Amino acid sequence: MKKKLILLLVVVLALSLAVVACSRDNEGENNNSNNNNAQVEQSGPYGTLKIASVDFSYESTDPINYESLWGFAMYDPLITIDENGNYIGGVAEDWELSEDGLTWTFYIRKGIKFHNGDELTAHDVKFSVDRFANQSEIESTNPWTPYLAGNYNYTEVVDDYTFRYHCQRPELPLLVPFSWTRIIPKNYYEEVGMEEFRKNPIGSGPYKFVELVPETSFKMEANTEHWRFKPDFMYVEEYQVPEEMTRINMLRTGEVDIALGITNERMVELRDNEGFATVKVGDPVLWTISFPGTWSTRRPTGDIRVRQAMSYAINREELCESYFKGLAVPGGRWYMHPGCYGWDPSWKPDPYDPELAMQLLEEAGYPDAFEDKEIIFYVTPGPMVEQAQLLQDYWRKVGVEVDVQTIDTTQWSGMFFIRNTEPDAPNVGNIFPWQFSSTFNSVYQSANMFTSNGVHSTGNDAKADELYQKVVSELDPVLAEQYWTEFRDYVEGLYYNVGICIIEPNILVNPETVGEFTACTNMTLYDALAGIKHPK
Amino acid sequence: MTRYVIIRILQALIALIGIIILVFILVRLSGDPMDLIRTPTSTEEEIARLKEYFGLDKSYPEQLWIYLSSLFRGDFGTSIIKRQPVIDMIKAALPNTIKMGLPSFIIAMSLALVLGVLAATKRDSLLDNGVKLLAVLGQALPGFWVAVMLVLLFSVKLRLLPVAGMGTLKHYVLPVGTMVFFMLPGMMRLVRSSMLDVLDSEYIKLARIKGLPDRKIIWKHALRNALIAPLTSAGMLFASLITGAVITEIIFNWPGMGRLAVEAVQARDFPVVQAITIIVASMVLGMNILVDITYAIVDPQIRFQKS
Repeated sequence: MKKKLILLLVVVLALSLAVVACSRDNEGENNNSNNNNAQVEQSGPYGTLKIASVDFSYESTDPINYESLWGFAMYDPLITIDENGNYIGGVAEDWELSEDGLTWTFYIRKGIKFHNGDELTAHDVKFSVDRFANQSEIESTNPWTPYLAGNYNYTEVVDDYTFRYHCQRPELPLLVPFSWTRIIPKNYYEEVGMEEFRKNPIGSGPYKFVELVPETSFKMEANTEHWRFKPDFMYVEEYQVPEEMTRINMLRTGEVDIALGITNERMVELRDNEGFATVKVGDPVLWTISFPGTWSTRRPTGDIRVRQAMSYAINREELCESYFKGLAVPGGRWYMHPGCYGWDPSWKPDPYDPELAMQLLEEAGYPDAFEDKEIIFYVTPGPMVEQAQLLQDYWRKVGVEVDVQTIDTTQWSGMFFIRNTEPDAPNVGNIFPWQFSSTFNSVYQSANMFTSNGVHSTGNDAKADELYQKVVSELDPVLAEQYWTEFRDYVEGLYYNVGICIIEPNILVNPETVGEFTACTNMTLYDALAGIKHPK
Repeated sequence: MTRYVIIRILQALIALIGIIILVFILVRLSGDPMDLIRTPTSTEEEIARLKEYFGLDKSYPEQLWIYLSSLFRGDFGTSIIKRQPVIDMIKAALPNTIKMGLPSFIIAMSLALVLGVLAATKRDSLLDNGVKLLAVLGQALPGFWVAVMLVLLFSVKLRLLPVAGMGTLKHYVLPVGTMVFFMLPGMMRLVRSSMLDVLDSEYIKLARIKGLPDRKIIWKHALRNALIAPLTSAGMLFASLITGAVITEIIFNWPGMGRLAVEAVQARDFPVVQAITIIVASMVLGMNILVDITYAIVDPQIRFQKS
């Protein structure tokens, strides 16, 4: 009897596993719940666009946080930027700057509705701008806030559709933080308070908030009454999937339509062998290296000829073809890529010329290889290590011995983001890589790299400082851009920072369920969501 | 018995306080969390404000006192990376881990018990050899490999099961299957060897001489005495499930404590690391007490010795 019971138990356990395994689930995840092809004749938004991303970071729904990526879909910006890099209207359909450069007047578009039906007015704009510029009880952690806050005088609502921002000094690049300012509903926010607002955010963007399951998923629904966009997908669901192979497998099985954070090697494999498509969204990623404290160091990098030699020693073409699998091109400058604000088409990356590199080293007093590994190339764990080793190999061939040291991200950030130019400081005379998304207008980021006040410990040149001031205080947009080009041309010659590659900002999509990307592909994926079409 | 339990609980509490202090010190020795919080444009004033916000501007003894008193109120602090109360993050992750861990534990223990006993009573039979083979495979194959292979087979090739997530019953099959595969072999071998020891003992021989039926000897007398070692192991296994399912949670994208722990350690999010360590320590200590009590229930000798 007992034996039968045991057998029964085993059978039940095995059966329960098998039944669960083979049962059809109601949601039909494996069969791609979008059923996009079947419904292609429908009008209006339908279907769900599913995205697998690496990490939700702050999981913030509040646009005051830079990391609130979803905010780009849920809120409208004060002004925005088109695919050619021109500033265009957002919530403000037009704006003007007073002759003295101290007053910005924004004319608010009429008829914009928040997701709760309230109309968006200049009062909401003032509330949002003040909050973003740290003029309210909330402390903004957004890296763009200091630029707005640093030149804030006061703001005013002239009438329901006119808003003014008064600054302390003329500064044309303020357009950049204005384009990062997203508008939230003043009345709703004040009624429910910050905590509740963050739990149930309301904006006026093309997608509205549905649900956030922390560390798991985020869901939005199309705002069918948006003033600018008519989204094709009714819902957007994003899943946090830290493991790359899991993201790829979810794409393969149709559990998601878009996978983010896929390495180039895998991306090319999946594109060429399995029929997935790559789509460029956002600004390209730039890989550069920086040399802090070049004027105070006793190490060889203090000599510009050594830095030049290190640049000429890098075979950028080879790196782009072999390491980045053809998804990168040589070049790029600190936060600048071809076509962006102030880019001069004549700018080219240094060619691969090991002989010239060795000649420069000889002129600098280093005819032979360095006796010791005097220069440290500080990297953090991950792909940076492999990339640094590739550069190390190029440099070794011309006689520059570099010691690649992998350190903790925190330690690395402490050295790269805090200005310390003492001759014996651990950052001074060494090398730091940076791989990050470029940006259309990089005036402020460049201050950090090339001026004497910059956080990266690299800038220390009176002429560079002077040229930078000329850029930020010029009110004529044409002249300002010209000065900007001159500034960047000059600082590039200082070899504080050397561009290596411009890496394509690709995401991997399933072409059977995702169609054309028709809007805002120069911005973030979340800006672009409203323009993603169903496949034809 | 009651006195014994009270003493064990008091010992556990003292150990827990020691662990909390140790974790507090070790986490701070690993580096300055402000380096993670500051942005490239952070001013000294902003950094000072953030330090004040996270209580990092105070001396270590003050920070420890505040931390202990907050813990007493059930407040684990705020995550430095996510800027959320740690208790909310734990509340979200812990049930998910239990949802996967509990069924895995129950299935693995049930199978281990049945297969272990059957293998011990039918030595060198086909079943026994099968159990031994399964045990070797389970202990030799790397966990991440098994999990990835299961996904490739059942999700990518056969399209029977979802790759990741936890929305429906189907989502449970692969993670639970993987967990069972990890837990089953060791436990099965332990049950088998304990049973073999007991089956060789004098009182079992006596029971056989007395003419007791085999099933009564095995399932009542032998199994009960053979359970001491598996019980200890099961207790620890259950406690470790809370954070031990790291690989399974990452591969199957299960938003539980294991994944939370890994992310927090990588990001040096020390309030979260502290909270998870304390919860795990509490679980281990709690399971120890529970195992001790269960010993006493299962084995009267232990009960009498302790009392």
